[in-house]
Amino acid sequence: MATKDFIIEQLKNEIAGFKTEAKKQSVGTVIEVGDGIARISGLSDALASEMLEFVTASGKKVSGVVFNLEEDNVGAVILGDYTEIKEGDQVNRTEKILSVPVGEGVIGRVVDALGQPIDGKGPIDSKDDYPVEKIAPGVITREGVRQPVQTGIKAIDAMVPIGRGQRELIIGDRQIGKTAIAIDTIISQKGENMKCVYVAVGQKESKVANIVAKLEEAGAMEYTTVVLAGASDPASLLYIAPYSGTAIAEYFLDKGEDVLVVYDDLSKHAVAYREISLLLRRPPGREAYPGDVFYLHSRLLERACKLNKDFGGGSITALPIIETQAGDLSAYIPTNVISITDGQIFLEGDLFYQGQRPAINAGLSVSRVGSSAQIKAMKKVAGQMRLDAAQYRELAAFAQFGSDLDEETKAKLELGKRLMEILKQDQYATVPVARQVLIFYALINGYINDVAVEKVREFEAGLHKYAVNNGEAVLKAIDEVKELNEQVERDVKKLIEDYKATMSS
Amino acid sequence: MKISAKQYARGLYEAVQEKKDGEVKGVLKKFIEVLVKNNDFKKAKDVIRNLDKIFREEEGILEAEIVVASPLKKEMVKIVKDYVTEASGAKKVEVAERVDKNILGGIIIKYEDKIIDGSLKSRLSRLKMELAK
Repeated sequence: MATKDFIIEQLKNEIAGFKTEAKKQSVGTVIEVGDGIARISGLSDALASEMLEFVTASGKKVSGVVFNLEEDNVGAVILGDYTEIKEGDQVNRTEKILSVPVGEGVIGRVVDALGQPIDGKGPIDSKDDYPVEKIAPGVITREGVRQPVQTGIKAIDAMVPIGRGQRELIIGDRQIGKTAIAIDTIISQKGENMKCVYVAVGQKESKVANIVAKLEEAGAMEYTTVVLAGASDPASLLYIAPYSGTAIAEYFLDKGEDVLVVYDDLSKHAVAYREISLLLRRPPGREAYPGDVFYLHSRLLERACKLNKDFGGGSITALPIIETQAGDLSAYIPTNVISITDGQIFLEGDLFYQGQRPAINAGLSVSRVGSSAQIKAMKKVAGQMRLDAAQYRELAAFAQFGSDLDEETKAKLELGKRLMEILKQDQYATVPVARQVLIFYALINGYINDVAVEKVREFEAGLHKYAVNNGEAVLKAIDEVKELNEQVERDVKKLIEDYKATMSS
Repeated sequence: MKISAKQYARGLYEAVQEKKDGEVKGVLKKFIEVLVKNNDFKKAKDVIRNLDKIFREEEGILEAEIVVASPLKKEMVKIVKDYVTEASGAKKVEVAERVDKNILGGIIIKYEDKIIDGSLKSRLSRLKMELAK
């Protein structure tokens, strides 16, 4: 009885405290609806990119976003089921700019473009909302990129190093391992003090389910959020998803943490934006993309940054992905994004089918941040290696014609072949930076010259195993000292020689 | 150049402004002749609708709708009318009253694109939401 009284007492208090005020609010009526967009009359004081609420005849509420503010109507995109909305339905303002819930609670979750969980693990516990669109940090708040992001992929860490706060484009045809590079990078951030956000735009949901399962298996979901706008979602959600992902990342940036964001992929994002723009009758330009498609991506990628100490020192590293058609880099969207980013990793179909995986074209791939995003030890071995790789490419093409080669050229070719073998790497088999230094050191100092080309990968696998079992101190030294001083170099040399001795015996 | 229904309507409105009642007929005739000549007679319906809008805009006449559960007293309607006149800055307000039992009590006032929802029904539903939290 007492509890009943208590409940009634509480209810009384609640009701007494409940104030009703008739507030003046402005409303609109739908004059036209279709294909995920609506034209609304009224709403004269609506804000740009404000969230709207459509009240359908059945009483269901569907949200939308203001996109076009015109003289006598408002163009809005509908986020959700637009088949419910009919002409004449009432539209209410929410007086809120489009925002998504952010916080520690989103880590390890799969959310949709509006930040709502879609992994069936219950509601997300978050106190803050971040606006989806935000102006990028200004000049005074930034500093140069100097800390590395270790992708665990030998070819990238050595030749196109990525730094924290950098924007590195991954570009290539379909099905040649673009996503694989991004996923491997996320997996190898374990213990690197990085949060990761994987934004899937227009991807098959089965593929995303596979990725999430793989990340979970590798223990990477402990620091990763997946933002999913699948292939069957309306274009409006595909358009918003990358910005939502960035908003989630910005929460951690503001806390001074490092975040890695993967946008997979921005070509589909541009297509979704084109769809919305054409439906809203914005004039089409080249390839029917609207005039502001450059701004679409530049404002997104500008939000990647490295903040200086006074502003928390956090960073957002962006790995946008672009899919090309038959290797055509000069199409509209690829050229745009190439010019926005600080470098690109170019994947090539020919290399992929030759078995050179990851199929990174070392000639067309660059990192404009360069070696300042490498640890000193890596700088030392990789600088030499880039040169060897470039020379090999030149000579290999040239040597196809002649059989009479001088000793020096032959040696370079042999070294190049071994280098190409070492750059091969399986998916989900990331290599920590210390072990990368070890194998590259062995290569450039001629320890692998007497190993047959087809045995190189075996040799490498053996070296890694041997180093983990017997050379832990050396690996630790490289990780801690981060450079190859005399002491460390001597240890590395000894480790490799010891390993070779076990091989021959 | 194509002339939109809105432009026709504005033109017509301005043309009859300074005319006496007797002359309006002639103007209208001329106007219809112009429409036919421009092959725009199919726009006549739109022109009429736009004319209505422009007329209200220029004369400062505002339509307001009030929804109540039971018919209002005269004085009450006047209070509402005065309120809307003040809030919108219009010269004259025409009030249409609609009785809808579903709102249970209170009043909903609509004018332009504004709505003031003081109905019992929406207040109850808000209370329900508040309690559910």
